[in-house]
Amino acid sequence: MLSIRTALIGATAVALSLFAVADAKKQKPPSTRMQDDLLEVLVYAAMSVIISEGLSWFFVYRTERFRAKINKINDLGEQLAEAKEKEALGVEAKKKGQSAAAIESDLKSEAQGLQMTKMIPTLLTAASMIMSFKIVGGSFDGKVVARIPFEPMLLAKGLAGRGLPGDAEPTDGGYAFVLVLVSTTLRTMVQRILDVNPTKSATVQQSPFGQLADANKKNN
Amino acid sequence: MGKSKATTRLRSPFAIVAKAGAGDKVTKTECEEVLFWVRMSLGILLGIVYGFIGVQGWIGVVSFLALGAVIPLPIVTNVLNVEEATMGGRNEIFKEGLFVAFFAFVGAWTVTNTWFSS
Repeated sequence: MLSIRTALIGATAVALSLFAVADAKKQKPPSTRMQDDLLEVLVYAAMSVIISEGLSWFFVYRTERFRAKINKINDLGEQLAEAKEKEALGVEAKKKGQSAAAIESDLKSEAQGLQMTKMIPTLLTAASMIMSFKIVGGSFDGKVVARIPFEPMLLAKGLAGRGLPGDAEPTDGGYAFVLVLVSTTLRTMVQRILDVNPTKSATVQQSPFGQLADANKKNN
Repeated sequence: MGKSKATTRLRSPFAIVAKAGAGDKVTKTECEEVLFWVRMSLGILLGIVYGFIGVQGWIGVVSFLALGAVIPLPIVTNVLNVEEATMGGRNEIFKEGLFVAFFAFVGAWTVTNTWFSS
């Protein structure tokens, strides 16, 4: 059973690794080229993903318990899709537990169990993002590290200009923009390769209003 | 007890394309896997090309969204031989994996544009 102690060890390893890299960087003379700054931010982003996903794989993703849970959820997703197809054609389920509603109920409870199992990877991801922002922000706050090829709008505008002075160009990008983009992309790809998320057919849509309605039904 | 469907589904896009080429039926989940990787590769490749040739402005964003939505469709219907109805319709095929690919596209475009800017 994975414990809080394991999560703390993992988070400490993430922090120490990133601090070690930041310390090594301090020994180099400061760079003035935007391209060199961009390269450093990219390296930090890649390292934070590799470290956090690597530790998540070591502590959680490679365990038999986790793999069995993911496989069960994916199987239930396939069964649910088949059951819904049959019900749409008017074919009734032969056994009680084979109806779409019963399978969906099983799927929801398994998905909730998976969320508990993924608590440690979630904590590691959060720790790596916080540490990355702290370390990279300390070195690159106020510096333009990227030239965005279009003028960002809405939320992207705020993210792109984070940490930059007020007179920065609209197409100037700070460290936060590059860090979020690159780490999100890399993390998605790594998680896809490691197959750590349920398939789309097994992802049960749960709205907060639906959960409230379910709770009201139980109480009445 | 036989292997579950979850453990027997293919995950490599190349293996899935080979499976379709051999005449076997490709499942919806396998098709989604191919769509994800095709769109992701397209996003990164287009981002690098646009940054290299100097495409600027929202025309780049709009053109990626158009190309990214449309290009994978013939791969689904002609290469994987999956019907649109199996995937939930043409709109679902257009949308599958497009959002994440867009992040990859903007990242690759920004990095390449910065690298080749003065």
